[in-house]
Amino acid sequence: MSVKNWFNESFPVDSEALIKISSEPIPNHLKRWWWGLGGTPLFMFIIQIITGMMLIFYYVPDPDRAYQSVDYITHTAKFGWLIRSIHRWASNIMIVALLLHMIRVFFTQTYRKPRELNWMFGVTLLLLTFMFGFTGYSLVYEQMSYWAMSVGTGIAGATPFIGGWIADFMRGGSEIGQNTLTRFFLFHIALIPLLTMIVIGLHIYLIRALGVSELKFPGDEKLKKKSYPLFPDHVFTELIIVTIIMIMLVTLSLLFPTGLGEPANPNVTPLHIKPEWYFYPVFRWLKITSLEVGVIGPMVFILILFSWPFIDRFFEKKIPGKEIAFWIGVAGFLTINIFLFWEIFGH
Amino acid sequence: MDRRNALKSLLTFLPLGTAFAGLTAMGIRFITPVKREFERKIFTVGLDELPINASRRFKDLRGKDLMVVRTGEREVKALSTVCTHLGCTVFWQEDKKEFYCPCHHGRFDKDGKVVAGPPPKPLDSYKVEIEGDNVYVYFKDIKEV
Amino acid sequence: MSTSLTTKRSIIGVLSIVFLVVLLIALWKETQRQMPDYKPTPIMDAGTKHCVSCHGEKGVGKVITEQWKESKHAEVGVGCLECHKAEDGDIDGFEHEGQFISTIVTPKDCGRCHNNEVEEFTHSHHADAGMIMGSLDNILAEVIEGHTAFNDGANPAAASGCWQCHGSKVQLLTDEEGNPVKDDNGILKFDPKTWPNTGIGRVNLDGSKGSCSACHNRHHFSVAQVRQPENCGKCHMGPDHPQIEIYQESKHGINFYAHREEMNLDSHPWVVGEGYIAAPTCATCHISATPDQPITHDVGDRISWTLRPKVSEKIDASALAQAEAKGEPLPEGFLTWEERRKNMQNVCKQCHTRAYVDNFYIQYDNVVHLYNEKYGKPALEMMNLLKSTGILTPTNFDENIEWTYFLLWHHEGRRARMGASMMGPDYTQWHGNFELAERMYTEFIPEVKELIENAKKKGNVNEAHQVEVLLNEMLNSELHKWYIGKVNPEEAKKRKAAAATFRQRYSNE
Repeated sequence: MSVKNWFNESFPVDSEALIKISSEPIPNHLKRWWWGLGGTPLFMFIIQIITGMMLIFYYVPDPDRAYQSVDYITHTAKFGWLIRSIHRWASNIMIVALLLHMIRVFFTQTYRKPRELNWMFGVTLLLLTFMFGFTGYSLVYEQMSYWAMSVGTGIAGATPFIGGWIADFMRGGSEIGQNTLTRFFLFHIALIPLLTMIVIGLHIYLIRALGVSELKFPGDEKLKKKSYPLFPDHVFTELIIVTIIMIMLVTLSLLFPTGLGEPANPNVTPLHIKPEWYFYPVFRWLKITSLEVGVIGPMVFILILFSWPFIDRFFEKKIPGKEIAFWIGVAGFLTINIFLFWEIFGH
Repeated sequence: MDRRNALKSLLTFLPLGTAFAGLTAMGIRFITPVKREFERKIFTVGLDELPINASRRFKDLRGKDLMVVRTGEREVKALSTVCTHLGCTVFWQEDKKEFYCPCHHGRFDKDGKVVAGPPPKPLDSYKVEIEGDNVYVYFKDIKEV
Repeated sequence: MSTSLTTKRSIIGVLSIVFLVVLLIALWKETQRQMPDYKPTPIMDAGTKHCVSCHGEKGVGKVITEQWKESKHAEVGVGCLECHKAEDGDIDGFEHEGQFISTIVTPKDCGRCHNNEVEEFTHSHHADAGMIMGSLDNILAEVIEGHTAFNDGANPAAASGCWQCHGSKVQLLTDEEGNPVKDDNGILKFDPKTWPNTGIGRVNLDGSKGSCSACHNRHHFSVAQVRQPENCGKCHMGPDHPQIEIYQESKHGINFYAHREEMNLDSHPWVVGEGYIAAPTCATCHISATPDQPITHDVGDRISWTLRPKVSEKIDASALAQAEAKGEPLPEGFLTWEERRKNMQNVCKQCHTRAYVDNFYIQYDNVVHLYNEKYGKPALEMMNLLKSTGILTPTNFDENIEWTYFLLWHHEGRRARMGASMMGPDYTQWHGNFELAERMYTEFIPEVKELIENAKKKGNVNEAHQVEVLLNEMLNSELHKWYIGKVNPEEAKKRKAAAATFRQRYSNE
C-alpha cells in the first residue's frame, strides 16, 4: 500500500475537488491592480495574527505591568521593535487598503443586487478593523492609550438609552482599571478576531457563490479567453503585492519605528491628545458638535453606509438615470476628507 | 530552454524564500527570552567575622546555596554547597577540613575536589577577592523577563 | 509561457532582493541597538532584610531604604549593618533587635572598606575643621553673636551655624547622674546641640574625626552628587570664603554649567581629559584623579598657599616650624609646598600649556604678596602694638578698630587672594582689593589716628608716640606714601598724561 493510498484512506479528501477550487479561472479585469485591493486586507490580517501572537509572548494585560511589558518588547527583546512596528504599520496599511477597496466597490457600484449583503459584510469588516485599532492602541497603556480609552468609553457612554450599560460593559466598571484592560485585551485578541474571521469567511464565500461581477474594459475584447488561471498568473500578481507590502512594512518600521510615550497617568491629561489618524474625522466632528449630536452623527453615518445598496436602489427607482446616489457618495467622501484634513492641520 | 527557465525560477524564488526564512528566524529570536549575564562583585563578610577554618553560608543571586570558608590567613574559598552527586547540601566539617554530603557520604576537600564517595565532579566554585579586610565574591546575575 | 508571466517573475525577483536588503538593514539595526541600562537588584542579607522589614515600611525609614536601594552600596551587598554595626566598647552603641548598633556612622565605620580614603581624609585639614574652639570665629559665635549658656547651654549660634560646617563634638544626652538617656525603644539619645550634625570635622564618640556624609550625602552615596561644585558650596561660600561664587564667575564654572550633561559625573573612574573634557569642578582640581596622579581625600595635597590667615604663608610653613621647634622629624609622606604645587600644576596641565600655568602662578603669587605686604603685615603689626601698649583692651571686638581689622583680613583680604587663586577677577578687584583699600584708608588709618589722639588726651603720651611712629613708618612706605601726597614726580606725570588720554576718549566735551 503506497503512502498516498494510506493517506487518502485515513484522511479522505476529494483531491480533484481541491484542485478544481484552487484553479478557478480569474476574470480578466482582475489583472488590473485596482481590482486586487480586496486581497490586501486579508493578507494584512494574517500578518496581524502572526505578529500579534508574537507580541502576546511578552505582553501582560495588567495596568501595573502592561507598559513595562511593551517597553520590554520595544527595547529589550531581540527584534521586538521590528515586530511591534510591523504590527502597528500593518494596521495602518490594512485600514488604507480597506478604504481603497471600499471606495472602488462604491464607485463601480458592484454592491448592487445581488451583492447587497456582501457590501454589508464589508462594512462590518471595516468597523471591526476600527475596533481592532482602538483596542490595540489602548493595550500599550501609555498616556495616549489611557486617555483614548477614557474618551472612547465616554463616547460609547453617550449612546442614547443603552450608553451607560455599554460604557460600563466596556470598562468592566465605572472606572478604567484592571477590568478595562482585561476586556480590551480579550476584545483585541479573541472576540474581534473571531468575528472578523467569521465575517471574512462569509465575505469570501459570497464572492465565490455569487461570482465577482465581471466588468468589461476597452481592449479586453481582443483577449482570446474570458479569464486567466489562478496559478501561476494570479498567484504571481498576489506575490508581487505581498512582497511590496513586506518591503513597505519593514522599511516603514526602520524609518519610523513605533515609539513609546509616557506611561499612563490617570491624574494628568496630556496637553496634546489625538487619536490615530483614521479616527480624525470623528474626533473633529466631536469638537464642533454637542455630545449627543457628536455621538449620534457617526451612528447615523454608519447606518447609511450599511444600508447603502438599498438607499441607492431607492434613488435609482425614484429618479432613474440621474446617478443621484453617486453624487451623494462623492459629497460624503469629500466631507470625510474635509474633516480629516481639518483635524490634521487645524487646532 | 527548460533548464534556463528553471534557473531563472530559482533565482527568483530563492531570495524570496530566504527573506521569509530570515523573517521567521527573527520572529523565533524575538520569542526567545533575552538572557543577559552580568558579573557582580558582592561583599559577603569581613575577615574579622570569619576566623580561620570557619565558614559562613550565603545564597547566590539565583538562590543557590554557597559557603564561604576561610582556609588561611588571607585565603578564602567560596564553594557551592550543592553536592554534584544528587544535589543534597554538603556541610563544612571544621575538624576534618572537609565538605561532607550526608546523603551518600561524598567528601570534598577545601578546594571542592572529590576526596571520597560517589560525586562525579568537584563542587562548583565562585571567584573570591579579598580587599582590605573584606571578602568579595563574584556572582553571576542573569536578567531575563 | 506568456511574456506577462516572465515579466511578473522578474518583478518578483527584483522585489525579493529589495526585501532581503531591507531585512538585512533591520538585522544590522538590531545589532547596533543599545540595550537598556542594566539595573542590578539590591543585595539584602538576612540582617538588612530584618532592618527593612520595619524601617522599610513607611516614613523616613522607607525613604532611606529606597535611597539605599539605588546606591552602589546596595549593588555590592553593603547593607544596614555593614555601616551601622557598633564595635564592642563603642560608647554610642546600643542593643536593638538583637544587634549592637549605633546611629552615627563615623569615618572609622566607613574605613572598614574605604580605608585609604579615610586615612587620607584624617590627615587633611578638613578633618581638623572641628578644632576651632580657640579661634576668633568661635568667640564671635559663642560670645559676641550668641551666648554659650543660652537656654541651658543650647549655644544656638554655634550649634546651627559654625558647627554645621566645622563639625560638633558629639555628645550623648545624659540625666542628672550623668547616665546616657534612652528612648522607649532603647535607642540612645544625643545632645541636641551636637547632633544632627554632619560637619566635616566632627569629633565623634569613637574617637574618630570627621564625617564622610559631610560631602557624601546619605543614603544614595552618589558620586555624581559629590563631584558637583554645589556640594562644596554648602560651606565654601559667603563673605569670608566665597569659593563657590568665585568658581561660578570663573571660566571653569561657566564651562561646567554650560556642559553639565557632558561631565559624566557618575562614571567610574572619573579622570580629567579622559572621561570628561568640558570643565573642571572643585573635585577635579582638589581631589579627583588625573592620568598621572591618583585621587586623594586630603584636599591639601594640591594647595601651595594658605589663604586663610591674617598673613598668608606657604601651606607647609606651620608644620615645618612646629617640627623644628619640637625637634621631631616630619611625618611620613609629608608634602612640601613645592610638591603640592606640582600636583596642582599637573591638573592644570591636562588642559593648559606649561607657559600658561607658570605665568598664572606668577600672577597669583603676586596678588598674595601684594596683600601680605600692603595690608596683611602692616595692619597686623599695628594691631599687635595697639594691644601690647594697652591702647586697646585685651577683650576682642569691644572696639571699632577690631571689627575693622577683622573685616579687612578675614573677609576682604581673603576674597582678594581667593579670587586670584581661582580666576574670579571681580572677587580680586571689587570684592577684594578695592574694599581692602577702602577699609584701610577710610576706616583703619583714621581709627588708628583717633586712638592716638585719645591716648594723648588720656595722658598715655609714650604709648601714643610709639603707635604714631609705626603709623608714620607705614604711611611713608612705598606702598602707602601716596596717601600723604608723596608721589614720585615722574609717576605723577605719567598718571596725569594717561588721565588726559582717557578723558579725551570718553568725554563728550
